[in-house]
Amino acid sequence: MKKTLALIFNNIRKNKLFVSFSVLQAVLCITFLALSFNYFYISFDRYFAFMHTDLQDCYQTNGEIIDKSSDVGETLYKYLDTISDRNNWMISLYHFGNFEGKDPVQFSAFNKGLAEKAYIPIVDGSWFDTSSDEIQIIIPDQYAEDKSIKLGDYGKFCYYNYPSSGKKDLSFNARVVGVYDHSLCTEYSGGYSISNMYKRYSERYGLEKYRPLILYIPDFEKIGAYGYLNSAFIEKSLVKNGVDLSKNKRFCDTSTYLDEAISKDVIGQGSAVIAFVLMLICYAFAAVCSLSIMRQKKARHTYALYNLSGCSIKKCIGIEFATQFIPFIIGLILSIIVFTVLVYINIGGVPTICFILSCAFNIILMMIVFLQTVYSLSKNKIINSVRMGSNERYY
Amino acid sequence: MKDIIKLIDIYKTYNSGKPNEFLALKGINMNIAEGELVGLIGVSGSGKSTILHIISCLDSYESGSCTYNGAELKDLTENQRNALRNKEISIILQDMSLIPDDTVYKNVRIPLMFNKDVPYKDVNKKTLDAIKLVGLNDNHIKRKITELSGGQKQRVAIAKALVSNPKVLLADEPTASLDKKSSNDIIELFKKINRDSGLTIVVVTHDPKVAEKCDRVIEISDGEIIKSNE
Repeated sequence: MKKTLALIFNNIRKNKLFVSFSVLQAVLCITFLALSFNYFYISFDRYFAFMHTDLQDCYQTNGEIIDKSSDVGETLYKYLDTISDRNNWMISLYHFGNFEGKDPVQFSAFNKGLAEKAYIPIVDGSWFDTSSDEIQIIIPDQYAEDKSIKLGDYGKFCYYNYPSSGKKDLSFNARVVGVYDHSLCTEYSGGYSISNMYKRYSERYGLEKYRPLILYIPDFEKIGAYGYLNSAFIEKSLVKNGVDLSKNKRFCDTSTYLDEAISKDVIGQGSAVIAFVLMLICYAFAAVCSLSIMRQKKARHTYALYNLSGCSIKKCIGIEFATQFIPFIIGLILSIIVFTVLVYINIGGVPTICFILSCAFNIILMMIVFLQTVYSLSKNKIINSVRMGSNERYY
Repeated sequence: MKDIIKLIDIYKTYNSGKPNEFLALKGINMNIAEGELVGLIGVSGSGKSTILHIISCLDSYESGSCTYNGAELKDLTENQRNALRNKEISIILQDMSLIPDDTVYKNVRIPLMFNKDVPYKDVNKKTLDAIKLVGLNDNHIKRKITELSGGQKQRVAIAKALVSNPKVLLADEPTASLDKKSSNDIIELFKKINRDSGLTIVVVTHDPKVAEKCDRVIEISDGEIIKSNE
């Protein structure tokens, strides 16, 4: 075994170009897949965001009444606990509505818009008492007026789901702690709804008075990078709509995260394309190095001499296959390292799928190499190579 | 002396059944005794190399019998043939059978890498011994084949052939690409090895001056033995 390995590594050392390109293409392959899948997944999420009901997806309780000790209650409380400054926020308590006994359908338009990741601002300089044992919510002022719900009322609310989602409504007891200006939430257009709302709030109340903070929704964190970036999309949409984030202290506070998120988004798209192009180039070079007539002749000559010295044809094929296979293995190992780093810096979208696809891609390449090896080193070719001796020019 | 190789009425045809069919050997009968230094002489295309290929199991034959130590070569399995080439019969082909972009050391050790009887830890010593045996020194060990002269390359080829301590050495035109001095050196080296170790050597050549230094010369023409001198 030691001898065979020595021969294999000697052959690998002699094919530095092939090894380099094989390793590179394997690494780039998985990097490309990681980045492109990440981007694809984000895009998918953006366009089909209304299909997501994040809280429900993560914390569905099948209509049970929730309290602080339940999973949902605990999560909501933890969520509220993340709010350190209770003044002047925009907060993402969307999807809530349907005060006890009231018709949930009234909230359909409201929900539809908000389900697209809009954020609801509190307009009354409101507050959450995070020390309270209660779940506290804010509701549209129009709805509060229609249903005679007053600040401080306590009752059963329903987290309304679309019937098409096939999931039950989520009910929970909560105290109304704030109302917001419903008229500002009537126009929704996907991810831009928030900017429209914010713009109107800005116009009406002035940025200095209301300095919204877009919260990073912890639910999204569980899902992965897309939520993280999705927040960035919303913030970017604010900028697109003329909101100067730099004037706002809160946004400045989140600017690092924002810049990082935006840059990752850009890097993600750009890198995917670059990695793909590089991967193709490297694969082309690896293929050229592996399948070139020159290398075929050199390999045939080498294995002819091995055969002459008593190595069986099968073993020759094995050595050549390993010579070409090992660089792929090295590439895959490096890929795992690269991918771990990508996941660690939270840029990887769907690690498992990417890894499986990358492995499958590389296995296909290895099968091509294997078939080529068997063909190239078929018995007759080797024997001919030996018999021809000096009549065949190998180099 | 006991005959180590026997060829009886060997016929060999290339491209059988095709328009370019060629009868290379026409009933060759030949015995090679243990420890003999035999020269096979003949013009190009006379069938000398074909005989070497048949003895080294690189090629087959249509009829007749070719035995090594009493074993019919035609009946050997592929693995047995490989083992025979690895341990018993070494062959140096016209192109010297070396890998140009490998070092002298790596070329010489090749047969040992396929010899299961030699443990990996012994490969180094045996390789270095073989290199010294053919008159190369430590300076040559790490040099690539492309950096050597013709005579040095031939010595490397001989070292490679001898490294696994075979019983028979077959050399196909070992002096063809060498100058006169290098040719003499190589033939003297063959004679020395033959004399010192009793190795059976068969040298194919078209040069009568090389052949006359052998113990026995067998002349072949047009696939037939026309003369055999003691």
